[in-house]
Amino acid sequence: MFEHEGLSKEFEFVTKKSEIKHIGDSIKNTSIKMQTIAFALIQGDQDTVGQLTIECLEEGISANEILDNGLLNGMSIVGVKFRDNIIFVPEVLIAARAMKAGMTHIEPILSESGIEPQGKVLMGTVKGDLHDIGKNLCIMMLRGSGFTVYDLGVDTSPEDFADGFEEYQPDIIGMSALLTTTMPNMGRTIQYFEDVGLRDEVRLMVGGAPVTQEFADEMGADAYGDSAIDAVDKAKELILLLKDLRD
Amino acid sequence: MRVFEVREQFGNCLELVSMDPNFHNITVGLFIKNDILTVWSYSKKEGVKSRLNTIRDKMVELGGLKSIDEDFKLKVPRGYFIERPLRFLFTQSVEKDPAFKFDNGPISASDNKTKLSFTIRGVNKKDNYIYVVSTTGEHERPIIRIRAVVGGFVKYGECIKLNDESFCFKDKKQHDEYVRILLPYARNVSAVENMITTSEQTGQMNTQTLGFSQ
Amino acid sequence: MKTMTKKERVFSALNRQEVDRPPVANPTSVATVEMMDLVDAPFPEACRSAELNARLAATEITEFDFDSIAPYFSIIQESSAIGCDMQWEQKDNWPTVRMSNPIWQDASDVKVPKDFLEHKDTKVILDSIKILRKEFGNDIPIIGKTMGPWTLAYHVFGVEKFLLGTIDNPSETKLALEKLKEFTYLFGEAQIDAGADILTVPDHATGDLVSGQYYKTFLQDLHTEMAESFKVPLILHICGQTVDRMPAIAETGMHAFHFDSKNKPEDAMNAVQNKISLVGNINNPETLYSKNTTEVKKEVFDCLNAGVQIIAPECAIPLKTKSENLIAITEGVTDWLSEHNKN
Repeated sequence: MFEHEGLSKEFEFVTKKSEIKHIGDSIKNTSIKMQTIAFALIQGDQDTVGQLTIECLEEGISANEILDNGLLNGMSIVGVKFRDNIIFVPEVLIAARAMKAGMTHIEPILSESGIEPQGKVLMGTVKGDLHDIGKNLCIMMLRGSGFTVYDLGVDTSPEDFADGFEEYQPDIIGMSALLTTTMPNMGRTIQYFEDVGLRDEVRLMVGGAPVTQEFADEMGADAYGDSAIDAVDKAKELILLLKDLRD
Repeated sequence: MRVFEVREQFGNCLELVSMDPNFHNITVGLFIKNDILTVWSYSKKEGVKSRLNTIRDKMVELGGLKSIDEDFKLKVPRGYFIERPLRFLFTQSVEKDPAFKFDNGPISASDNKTKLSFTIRGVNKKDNYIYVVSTTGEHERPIIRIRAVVGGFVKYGECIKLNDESFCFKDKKQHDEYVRILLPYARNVSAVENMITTSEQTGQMNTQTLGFSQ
Repeated sequence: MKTMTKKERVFSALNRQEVDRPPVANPTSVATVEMMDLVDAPFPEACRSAELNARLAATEITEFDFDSIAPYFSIIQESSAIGCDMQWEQKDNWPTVRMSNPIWQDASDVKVPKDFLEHKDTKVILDSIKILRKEFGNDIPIIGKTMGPWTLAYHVFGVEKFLLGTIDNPSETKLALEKLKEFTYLFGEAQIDAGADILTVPDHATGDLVSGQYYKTFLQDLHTEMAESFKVPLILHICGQTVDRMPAIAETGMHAFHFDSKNKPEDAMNAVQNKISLVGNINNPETLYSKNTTEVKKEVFDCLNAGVQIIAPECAIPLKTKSENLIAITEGVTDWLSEHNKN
């Protein structure tokens, strides 16, 4: 499917139609070097990711291109595989380590470039839920994409989200849940924001393994991200919408 | 008393305070059978009987409940049995300094998130006794904090929200004692929820509390 | 059928033989703050003094009429004896190991301290077992506990470091587990010598963290070897989602598997295909701790209807569990039997 055979095999784990299109489109016209970085990240090969990142920068490839086409493409497949229980914590840990190996070289360039941050996002796993690895994947991708992200951690009550909103004034609040039993707390948080009159001040996005678009619509969320990469795209769309509203 | 006997005589356990800071960290429970409440501990330490009666008396004093002429027991007058605030009342009666008393006068407390102060005023409206929340002090939009406090009473007092600034209890009656007990909780729900979560997690054994989760 | 002794009942269930009634036995302990008061044996002292430990452990039988006693309440006794950095906490909380401060880096560091079995925190369990055996005679099964090498690895190396190592260097990981199992054997054998009838082996390769393949790669052979080597029945305990690894666990020869409420009893029974007994799996935080006796009994029914051989909470019970909910477990079994006898 892609030039890089290994990456093509990894891509076979992406089975949802929307993700096949989304991630597939993102990878398909990228160079073999970018695909190699993506593959190495999925394998947790931090040395290759680090080395190739340096090489690409020396060849004049932009930090943004390496980030989007190499690192984030790899991470998007990691996110899907983790969500679908194909890989578990150790595999995610080594992928995250490989991502860091690339980001070490890219981050200084991105911060120097004076690129205006995309927006501010406040993230948390909802009340009663102590899982954070999915949330942390999203945070990594959002930061990599230029968002300023504040992390409230796990077991975040509606009131905590509201307190966080008052403190950080984010554009978007992202709520994660990995249990069907804790998903309703997304709705409670949205309701709480309505109750205290903050609903119109912020966009609320939801995500996590058991969450669906239907559920997100029922709860009254503004957006639903069905993977880490989708969360980034939806966040960008919400920022554009907000900008239009403000203009 | 053995476990079976306690259940037989005192009924079901409504709330357990695992460590009484005012008496040797004993565990104290609040039990209910019909409308009789019993404060009880399995501890056999010297002085425990007196301590349990002190807790009972404090519940009567702070909560407007009725003492019974029997050790450790008190009664829930009709309409007073609202479970959640009763459990907060019990916890406060165990954990607060025995000398603690509420101030007489208006029901008020300062907001620990802003420079506002809250006052709650009871108003008799036909068949409904309602409570109205107001603030003094400077804030751009005090209504946000008022709404949050009303939300707190709904959550912890099982109250009914009437509008952004007022609420009533389910039985539509006056319960000033409960309002005084609940106001410190209602004004800072996020901190209370954190405290409740921490308390609930304490003593649980799972992947997270063992430190294994990632 | 004639009434069995508690020991006969538990052993029969472990062997998937007929019982007079399903036993109630928690392989991972029953200790509550209320019982600490009843017998004046609070944590953490009850984890470090044999006399207090035995008094508290006995309440499982004397107050709740369960069918066994399990004196090792936590999962940290060996790790303390090994020299890990400990947090002993207070009456209403579990002692834990400070894994952010691990004592060892890799397999070459793993060594059994000379005084391992004489250390205060291993000796307490051995002495407690002796006290309980003397007090209760031979008709009550005493369930000891010896931590498996995977859990010990978390404690001595730190969780993240250990998990990264499983991919970075699987052969080093296997070597570490081989060396750590020595603690499992030493402590387990000592408890048997002291009078333990059964041993629980907690080994937290949980589905919340690692794949089912991990169990096969790193632990299945070790557990099979343990099942062959120990002279008493073994109950394996792994928290979290484990249905995917239950078929492999069922092949180890262990007598029973103590499973978490995240797995439905029917799914678990289906996975093990009657090759191993199941123990469990009443939900701790949501049911036993937070709900009422009706809900507890319902879960007992669900387990018995599925065919679970030994009824138990899913793990060590929350320390603040109300006594009435523990009584409800044995009453749930009685109610289920009445209903079944009617039918």
